[in-house]
Amino acid sequence: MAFNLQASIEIAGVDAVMIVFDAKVDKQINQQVHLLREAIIQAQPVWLSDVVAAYHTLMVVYDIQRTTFEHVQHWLKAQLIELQQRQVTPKVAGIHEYFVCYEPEFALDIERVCHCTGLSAEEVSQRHSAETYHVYTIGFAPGFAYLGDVPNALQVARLDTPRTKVPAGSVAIANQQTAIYPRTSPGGWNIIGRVAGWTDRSGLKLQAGDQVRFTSVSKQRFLEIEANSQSNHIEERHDD
Amino acid sequence: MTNTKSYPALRIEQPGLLTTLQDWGRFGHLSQGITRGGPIDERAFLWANKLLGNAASAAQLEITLGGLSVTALSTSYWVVCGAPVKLTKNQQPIATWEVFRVNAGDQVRIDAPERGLRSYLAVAGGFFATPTFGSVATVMRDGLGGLRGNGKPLQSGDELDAGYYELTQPVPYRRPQHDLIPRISSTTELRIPIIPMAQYAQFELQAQQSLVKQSLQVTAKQDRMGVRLQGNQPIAWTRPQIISEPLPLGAIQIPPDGQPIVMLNDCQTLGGYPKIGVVSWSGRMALAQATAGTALRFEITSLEQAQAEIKQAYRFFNLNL
Repeated sequence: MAFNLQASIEIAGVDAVMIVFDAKVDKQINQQVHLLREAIIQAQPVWLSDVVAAYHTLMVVYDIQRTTFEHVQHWLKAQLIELQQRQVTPKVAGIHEYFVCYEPEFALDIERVCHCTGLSAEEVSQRHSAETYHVYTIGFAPGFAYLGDVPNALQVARLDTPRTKVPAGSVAIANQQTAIYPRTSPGGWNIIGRVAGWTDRSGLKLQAGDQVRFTSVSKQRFLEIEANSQSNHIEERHDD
Repeated sequence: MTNTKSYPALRIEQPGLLTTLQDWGRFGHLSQGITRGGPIDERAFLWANKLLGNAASAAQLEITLGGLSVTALSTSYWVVCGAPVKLTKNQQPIATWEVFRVNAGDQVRIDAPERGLRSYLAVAGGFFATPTFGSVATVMRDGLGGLRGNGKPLQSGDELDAGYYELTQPVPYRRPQHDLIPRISSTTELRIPIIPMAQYAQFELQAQQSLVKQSLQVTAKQDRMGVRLQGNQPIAWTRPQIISEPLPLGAIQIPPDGQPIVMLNDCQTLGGYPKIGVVSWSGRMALAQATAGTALRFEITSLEQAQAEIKQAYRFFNLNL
């Protein structure tokens, strides 16, 4: 993939800059964001405090005792030019596979989703688990990964009134995105299943730019996995 | 934290409305959605550690609106900085912003502040707990940090240890020069320096003017995540919704009702509202103690100025992180 997108570098905070790409929720643009993030982390300038990627933006927090906004801006511009010249392709990201039980006991909003999409419960789980999802970004809460894209036929708006308590490990959809609720928390997305063997810290293994796949399992299999309480979580990070 | 020597410091008898363990914060994990936490009034926190000769980032208790009572478990030196509160040791009033000695069994109580919101209780050596993601800072919404690492505030009966310290370090009755203690007033209009950023230029001229040309009020809708403000002229965003972006500390978000929200230490790492500016360090420190009804006015400053003020503070407090 050629790195040929325009980006601007702006003040984001007293000690932060924002690199802003084309304002779209788009996998290619998002991959550019993650390429730049990787390059910054690899280079590890002494003034780097933190770096966080969203959809089309990347925020870099710097140590103002060690550098200036102008220097960071120049340095980032040089990184962008270098990435463009090197014709970098995205690295094979981490792949995460989860076993999901889509049965009604866990699919709290399945009726609503079927009603809005005209699909049967069976079709919902088939379509949802047929895709390989891209982790656009992580935010909202620790380990809450925004995954996309949900196929058109399965896109449903958020709930009008958010739930006060969504169980940890719930698999949910909202418009073009899907996610796993990392911890029990309030939430307004449509719940269509539950990951087997999910723990409070499972979400923290996900990184922006990774890939996620879901495999449908029966309730019996779900319970077996939960009982074994061993990780069903296959990680293939090529950079570790 | 390699120093494993510690001593029993205190037991919480009454935690008050909200008492949390805070060190300087949790850094380098924004990309996992983990926010920084840490003291909301960084200046009061840094003063408390400085007065005791602690490391600048040593953990303290952040007490919101007083009501804390504790029992000392060892002889040590303590200090309380932040909002002006009635502080007592065994029912005898003692000074805040001044190092005092405690013996095992002493009862120390912090009443509700006359003005301001937050107090910091620091002990020689700093409180000691097992860090999660490199910090003991309590972030309730993330379920991280605190005494048990699960983000829970402190409760009656909790006992906290503190790190080992050199006996010669703390100096009793040590206090800042009088004019260096920040004044907190709820009656004078605060001047809050801000830097325009993010979507500022995409707001219409009228909205840009509403940002700085009106008096805004601090509302009761505030916590460690952010402070909602209220003004007569809402700041209108007339463009389509924006795509969620990383949310910097101090960002001024403009939700659909046009009433600004200033983001504080526990803010979520991404935000979907347009941002019109970011509050400077001294501005954030003023907001850290601003009770509901306090009037404020934003005034635009330069990035150079905003950075100079932090650098000066960090030099003064010897903060090298």
